[in-house]
Amino acid sequence: MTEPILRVEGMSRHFQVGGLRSAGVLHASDDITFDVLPGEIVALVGESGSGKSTIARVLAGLYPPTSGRIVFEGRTLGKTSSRAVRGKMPMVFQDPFGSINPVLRVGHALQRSLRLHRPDLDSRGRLAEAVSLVEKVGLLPGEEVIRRFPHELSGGQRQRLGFAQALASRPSLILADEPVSMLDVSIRIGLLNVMRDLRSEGVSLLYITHDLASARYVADRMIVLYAGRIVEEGRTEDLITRPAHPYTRLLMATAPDPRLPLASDADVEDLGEPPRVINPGPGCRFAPRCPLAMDRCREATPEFVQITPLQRAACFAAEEST
Amino acid sequence: MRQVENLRRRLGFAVLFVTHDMSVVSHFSDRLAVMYAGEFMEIGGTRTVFDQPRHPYSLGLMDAFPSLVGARRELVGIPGNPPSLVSPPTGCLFAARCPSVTEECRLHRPELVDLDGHATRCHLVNPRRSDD
Ligand SMILES: Nc1ncnc2c1ncn2[C@@H]1O[C@H](COP(=O)(O)OP(=O)(O)O)[C@@H](O)[C@H]1O
Ligand code: SF4
Ligand code: SF4
Ligand SMILES: [Mg+2]
Repeated sequence: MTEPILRVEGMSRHFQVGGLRSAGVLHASDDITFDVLPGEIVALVGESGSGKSTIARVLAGLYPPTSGRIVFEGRTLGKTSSRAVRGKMPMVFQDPFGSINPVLRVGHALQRSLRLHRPDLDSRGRLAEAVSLVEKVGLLPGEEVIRRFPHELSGGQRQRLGFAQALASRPSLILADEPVSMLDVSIRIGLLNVMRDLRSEGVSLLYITHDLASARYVADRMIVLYAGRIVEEGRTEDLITRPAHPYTRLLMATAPDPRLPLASDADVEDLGEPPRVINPGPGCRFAPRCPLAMDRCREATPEFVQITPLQRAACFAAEEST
Repeated sequence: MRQVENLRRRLGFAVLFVTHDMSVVSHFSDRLAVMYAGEFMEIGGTRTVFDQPRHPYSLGLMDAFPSLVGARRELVGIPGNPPSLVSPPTGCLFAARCPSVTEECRLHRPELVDLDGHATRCHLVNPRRSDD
């Protein structure tokens, strides 16, 4: 079996919230376990507030997990990850200015990180590599683009630059947190194509999104989050054609698609947002919204059941039907 | 409606009202306006615009949304970028990205012309009279 690039094992991240009298512990993510294989694109999908960014920030070393462990390229990450590790697992943010330096010319910023991460290159090699990086993400002509300042680029071009910047450190895994959600719909697809093309660079990608359809478009495998927990995981096409968890089915039913007839109000109820999980008791967190909820769903937390060797869902109803 | 407006802001200036909250949209809008670079490019009945878009930008948008149904296929969307709003082009704002652009499109900004309650801003859909 191929060794995973990244293994997340039982990772939880909690936050203290509230004042003295109303203090509580918010469970932003609980018991998160998954792998990413070399060259694989994995999508982490969930509504706003489901805990996606928390997972990304823990992986990027922005803050430590409350419990659990993260194994990256065979090594357990410590409390703070070194600059070398961050270079191997860079993050592209929703706002492109999260990953690029606004005051440096494009080429200058790229050559700066090449100096750090590519000791094998001399200054001419760095210049050539900077040109090649921007061209890889579709910014053409490269020689001209590297002379620009980030503010001279459009939002879509800046986000492409975010990926070029991430590629400069020769990463094994890029973390992309909602990288297209601030972009005009007409240019989103171009950026999704850039992400798909990362496969040919041998880089893995963790694509974090609330948009199931774009996840299907880019990802080999999907992980669905609800209220801080993974509820289902599987190969993209298996999950889309045979979702086993009621929440995945709800997400699919409410996904926008201009090609389909508009759903009537009766078909689609307001999704709302996942609850903020403070001092949770046992039970399935989806139970209040689940059409299949049974008594046992409110008493115990469902464990994963294997639907197929490559698909698992945390649901009592799925367990009873397998 | 404020929620829709918030979504429009959040999604950017060119918005086909496709949100994960389709029920809100269909509730508040039976008409749909497609905007590009700050101008209405097409306005019509929501279902009509989805099913029979007339403006090249709307047509391109339909090919810019990945879908959960059908086979997974490569999409190209609309290559290029929206024009600068500081110094917008003289002619059609979509000309630089339009697959059907003609010389006339670059020279004259098209008007929004309403035919049968479905309005479009495009020379291709509404040819200019030669005596204009
Ligand atoms: N630093 C923090 N302090 C307190 N609560 C937080 C913090 N970061 C995230 N949360 C909470 O954790 C939950 C998950 O947030 P987040 O990971 O940002 O979700 P997503 O990215 O899926 O929208 C939310 O309820 C959010 O309010
Ligand atoms: S465990 Fe119960 S409440 Fe939770 S998703 Fe399954 S059926 Fe619904
Ligand atoms: S006016 Fe011309 S450039 Fe503008 S959308 Fe119509 S065909 Fe395209
Ligand atoms: Mg987030």
